Amino acid sequence: MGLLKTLSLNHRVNLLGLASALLLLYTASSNKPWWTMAGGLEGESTFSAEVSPFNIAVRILGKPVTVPILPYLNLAARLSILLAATTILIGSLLAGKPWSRPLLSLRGLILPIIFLAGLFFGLNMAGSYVGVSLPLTGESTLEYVIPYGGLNIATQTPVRAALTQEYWIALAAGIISALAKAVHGRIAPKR
Amino acid sequence: MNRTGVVKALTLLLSTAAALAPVIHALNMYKWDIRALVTPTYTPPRVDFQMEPSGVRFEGRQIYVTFKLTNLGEVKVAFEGLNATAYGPDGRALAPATLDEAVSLPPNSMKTLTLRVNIDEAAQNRLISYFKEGRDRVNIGVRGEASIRVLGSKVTAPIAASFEISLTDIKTMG
Repeated sequence: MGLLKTLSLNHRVNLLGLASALLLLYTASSNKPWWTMAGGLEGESTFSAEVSPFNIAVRILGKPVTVPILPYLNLAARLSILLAATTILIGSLLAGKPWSRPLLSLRGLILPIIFLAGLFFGLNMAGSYVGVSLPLTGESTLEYVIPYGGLNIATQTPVRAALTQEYWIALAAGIISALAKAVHGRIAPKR
Repeated sequence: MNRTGVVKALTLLLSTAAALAPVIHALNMYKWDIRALVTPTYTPPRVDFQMEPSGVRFEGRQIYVTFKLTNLGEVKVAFEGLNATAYGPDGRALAPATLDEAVSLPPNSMKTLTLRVNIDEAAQNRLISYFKEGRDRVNIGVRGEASIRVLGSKVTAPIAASFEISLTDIKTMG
C-alpha cells in the first residue's frame, strides 16, 4: 500500500499513467519506423521498407510503392493513439475522481501487438505472392527467378530486417499503460 | 446516466470517430471504389542496355572482343563477371570466354566491355580449319551467363553475342 501511495502521490495522480501517456504522445508524434527491411549490397538499395502504424514507406529499385488507403489508415492509428494518450493523461491527472477509470485505455498496448501480428501476416502474404521468404528480423538472401523470353534471369539479394528502438518504446508505453490501468482501481475512490 | 457512464460513452464515441473518420474520408475521396483504394501502384524503373560489337584484337593466344555497351535504363548496371563459351560457326565449343574487367554503367551512359577468349592450340587449329573450308571471315558466337549488379542485387542473366574474325587475325596469333 505504501508503494501505491507513493506512485499515486497520495491517491491524487496515477504516475504510471502519466509516464505511459507521455511515452504514447512521443510514439504518436514520431515518424520513425518501428520496423525496417533493407535489401541490397554494399550501400546500394534494391528495396527498402520502413514501417510503423503511423507511416509506411516502401521503395523497390529506387521507386516508391504506394497504396492509396495506407496514409488514411496511418492517420487513423495516429489519431487513436493521440486520443488514448490524451485520455490516459487526463485520467491519470484526475485519478482521485471516481469516473477517471474508463479514461485509462489499453489501445497503447493493443497497437504494438496488432502491428507485430499484422507484419507477420503481411510478410507471409507478400512472400507467398512473390515466392520468396521474407524475414521478420535477421538476415537472409532472397533468391528470385524472373522468366524472360523463355530464359531465366536469377537474382540474389541479401536482406536485413529488424524491429527498431521505436517499436520497443511503443511496447513499453503499452505495457506501462496496462499496469497503470491495473493499479488505477486502487487509486481511484469507489463510487 | 452517471458520470462514469458518460465518460465511457464519450471515450467510445471519440475512439470510434478517430479510427473510422479517416477511412470514411478516404472512401469518400475515392468515390467508394474500394479496389482503387487498396490496389498498390508501382512503376518499376526501366532496366535496359544495348551491346554492339566494336572491335577484335589479338594478343598472343587471347582474343579480346570489345563491345559498345549502352545503358538505356534508369538504374546503374555493373557487369561483374562472365561465364561463357565461344562457339564456332558449326556450333562446336571453341574456348572459354571471360570478362576482361568489370564495367559499371550509370544510367544513360556508354562504356566499352571487353571479353577475353582464351584460345589453346586445339582451338586455334579448329579456327584455321574453318578458313580451309573456303570462308573469308568466320563468325564466332559467345553464349553464357553474365553476372550483373543492379541496385544492390546480383543478377545472373543469359547473354549472347557474336563477332567475326579473318584469317589475317589468326595469323597474328603465331
